[in-house]
Amino acid sequence: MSVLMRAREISGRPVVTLDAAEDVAEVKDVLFSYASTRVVGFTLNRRGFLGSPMKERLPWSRVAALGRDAVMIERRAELGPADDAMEEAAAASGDRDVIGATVMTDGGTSLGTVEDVIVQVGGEGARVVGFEVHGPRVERDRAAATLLLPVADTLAVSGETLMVPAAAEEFVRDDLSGFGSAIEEFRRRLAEGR
Amino acid sequence: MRLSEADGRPVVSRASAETLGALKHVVIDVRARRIVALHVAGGKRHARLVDWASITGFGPDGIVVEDDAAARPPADDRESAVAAGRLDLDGRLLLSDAGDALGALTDVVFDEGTGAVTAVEAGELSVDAARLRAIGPYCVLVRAAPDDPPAPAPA
Repeated sequence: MSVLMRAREISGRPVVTLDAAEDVAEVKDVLFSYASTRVVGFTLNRRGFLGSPMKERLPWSRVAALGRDAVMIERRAELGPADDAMEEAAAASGDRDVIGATVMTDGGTSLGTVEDVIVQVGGEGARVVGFEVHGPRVERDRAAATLLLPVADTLAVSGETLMVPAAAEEFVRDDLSGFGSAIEEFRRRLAEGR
Repeated sequence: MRLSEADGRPVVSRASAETLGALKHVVIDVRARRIVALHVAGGKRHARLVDWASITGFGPDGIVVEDDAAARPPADDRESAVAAGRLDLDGRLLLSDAGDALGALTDVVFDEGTGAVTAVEAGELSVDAARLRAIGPYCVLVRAAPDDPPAPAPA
């Protein structure tokens, strides 16, 4: 079974230890690899009112579970330095943030700007499967102000542009219900068509 | 019996017939699934905890313990936290180890003869005590089960 979540909803979730049922941090940002579309880890804030950033990181390899309401880890000691996957993803992305990037199809159509990242959490980890896109074109053509756009197995992101296959546009959805099947159809199309 | 029914029940010394205080909190050993001590509040003494083993009768109108010496100060950090109300169970988040909230804890079901905890409740939901993993400052943690209430549909 897999669950779809928005990255912004994951931010702010508590990081809870399984051994002591204690909230030892909260998620600041979700970090993922553009090359593999996998979630590689989280930056963290301290819990509480002030919520200052922590120097410790939480690599995905040390996460026990990512649920609707909390990120679970075995014990406090799982928080620490970034692991190789996090370092590689950070080096490859050069700290380019996909939020705010313009979505451009390889047919040369601009779809809008990225508002949020859709993450699928399942048995084999967490990966980016889509984006929430907002823009003037979106507002003109669709009833909803934001669209969900499925993504392929790898992402081309520069400082300002996210490049997607033109076929992605056909699988755009207005909400998360039904988006899971749209992703599967889209991937099948890409696998067959190229 | 439910903990909400026992809450506030007087704790009385059998030797002196003096009331040592009223049941306020319980210390649960999660691994053993038992109540191992009671936190007794409101008495004249500073001693605050009563071991389950000191109880001679857990009755409808009072909890009788052997003697006044049964009440003792907290012996470790966990007992101090319970006595200070930092591990208060009522209303605490019930969280599955999959990271999904199941509700807010409303009651604990236990056997008044042995102190064995049989279930924890969050409103209508009853979770078998065999699923308990930890009781901590953030939540009561239980093992996830296939029949847990499903995730609400994403907006």
